[in-house]
Amino acid sequence: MLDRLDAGLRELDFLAQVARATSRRTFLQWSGVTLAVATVGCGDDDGGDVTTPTGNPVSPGASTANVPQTAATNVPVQVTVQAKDANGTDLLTGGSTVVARLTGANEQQIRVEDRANGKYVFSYTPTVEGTDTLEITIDGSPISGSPFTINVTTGPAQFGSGDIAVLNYAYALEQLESTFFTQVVENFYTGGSAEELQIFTDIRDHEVIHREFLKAALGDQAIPTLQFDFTSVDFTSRQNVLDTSLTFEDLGISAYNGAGFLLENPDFVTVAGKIVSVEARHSAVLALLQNPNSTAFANDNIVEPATGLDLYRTPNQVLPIADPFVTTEIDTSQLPTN
Amino acid sequence: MTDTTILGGLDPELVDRVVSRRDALRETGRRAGLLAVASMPVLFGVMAKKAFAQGGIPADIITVLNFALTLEYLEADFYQTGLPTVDVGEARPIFEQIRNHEVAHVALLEGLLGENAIVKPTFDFTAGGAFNDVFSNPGTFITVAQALEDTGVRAYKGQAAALIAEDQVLTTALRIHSVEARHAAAIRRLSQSPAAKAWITGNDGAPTALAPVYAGEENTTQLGIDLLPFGSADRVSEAFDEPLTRAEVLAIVVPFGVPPDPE
Repeated sequence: MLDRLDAGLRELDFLAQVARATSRRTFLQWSGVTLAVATVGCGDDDGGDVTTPTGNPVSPGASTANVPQTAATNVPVQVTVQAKDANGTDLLTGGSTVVARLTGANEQQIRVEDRANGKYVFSYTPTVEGTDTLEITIDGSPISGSPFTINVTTGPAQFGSGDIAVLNYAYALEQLESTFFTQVVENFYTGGSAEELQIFTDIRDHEVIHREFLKAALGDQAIPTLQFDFTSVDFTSRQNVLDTSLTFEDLGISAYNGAGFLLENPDFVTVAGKIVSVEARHSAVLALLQNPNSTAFANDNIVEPATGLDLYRTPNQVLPIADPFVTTEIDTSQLPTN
Repeated sequence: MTDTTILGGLDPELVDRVVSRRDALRETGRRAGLLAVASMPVLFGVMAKKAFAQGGIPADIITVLNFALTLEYLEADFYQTGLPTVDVGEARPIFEQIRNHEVAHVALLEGLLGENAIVKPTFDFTAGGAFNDVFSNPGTFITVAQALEDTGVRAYKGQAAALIAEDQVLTTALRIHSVEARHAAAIRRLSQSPAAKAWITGNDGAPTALAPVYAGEENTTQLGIDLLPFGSADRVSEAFDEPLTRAEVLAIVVPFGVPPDPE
């Protein structure tokens, strides 16, 4: 919504420039298709200093653009084309026909804005990994370096906003848990009983099902598959595996308990409740594997003795705990906090 | 890490007290290698009561909280009455911890409700003779305890969505709910030898008397999404605990002496 508003303001700004333009033609371009041509008369309200110092015509082959060689998904690529004359001197007026044509993984139409000062600007936001090819022409001839090649790699995962962000947050945590328990089962420590292996296998399966459920529920709004680093965990050590398992389960419980109130859709509240109580069952049984017949399943450092209330953490408290294990960059700026 | 969302809109003086208490707790937590946020809810009951003070608690929220209080009375009374007589052997620390939590839940909910709290009913833990040896036979005791805890998990889950407009009450309910699930898991592990699973497979193969406690747990569809592509029916049903409506819960607990329409 804000993006659209911003684009609208830029459009208004652009039209205002068209209205102010003097003694030059301004082109509004959509990937080479001329949508509007304005030829207006000269006026003195044009800043006064917009002149070409050399008076020389533009030379496309000498003109340049700051096109990056690499880009990340969901991060805008912003390009400024500088028109120059044959001597390589910057032009200070606009009016040329600058066309940007993007093909490849993120093929899309690009609108070039004439800043009327020799600079032409545009941007695009890649959404998928791959190679993009960007051709830039001035008055039909390629500029220096065109066509450009841009390699797009995965950028920060975007959680989105509102309930989608909360569900993506849960999806990220279920990815963490399912990846961890998959590694536990695949590298199961020696000395564990058959029952113990069955418990970890069940938990692994539950977490995979939670993950796949959230992914399916989010559809094309799901964050990508995250990458994790569990090299700090000694998977051969029963103690270390149980400790880490409990850390992740209690983190998950606290996260669901602390995020429920952020949800707007009551159906999502219920389904989050359906998941969190299973996470609590996991935590309890793992703690009892570690300390049989003890209070470990709901210890006083987890469940507040005076109130009998379980852990809860806000997203801002959960993410730093998960962060050491997550190698994919994530952008949680839109995660609701109240 | 100051949590302005939970503290927002409350008496600033109270907030100061909570925050400074939390800072002290954080130091303690650091030494213990724990996150101090775990310890901050001590004053939550007070805070929530304060938050309600101006407009009073909405009637529909009172109904939900009294329903929860009824179940907590039932659970707390069950352990307080039974534990002095029944021999649960090595599992005693588990049950004493559970009893302590249920007593704390009663106090918390009574505190939230104030004068709106219902009076504790008189219970019949034999359920009209179905469990005559409940406080002498550990097996029966564990069976009833498991049924009460698994019912509690489903009851809170069924009420959560009704609390969506009351952020603090919802958070409190969720935090009780996951504790009930910890209890249920611990008790389920005691219920057979070798120990039963802590999670509910299908409808748990429960005997007829307890069938309503697990009816519907075999569900394999969530938010309209068929989850069988992602795991076996057993694993999928285990991965999600299902809610019960108020009426379904009452059908289970009325035989224990809960009034048919507690208010």
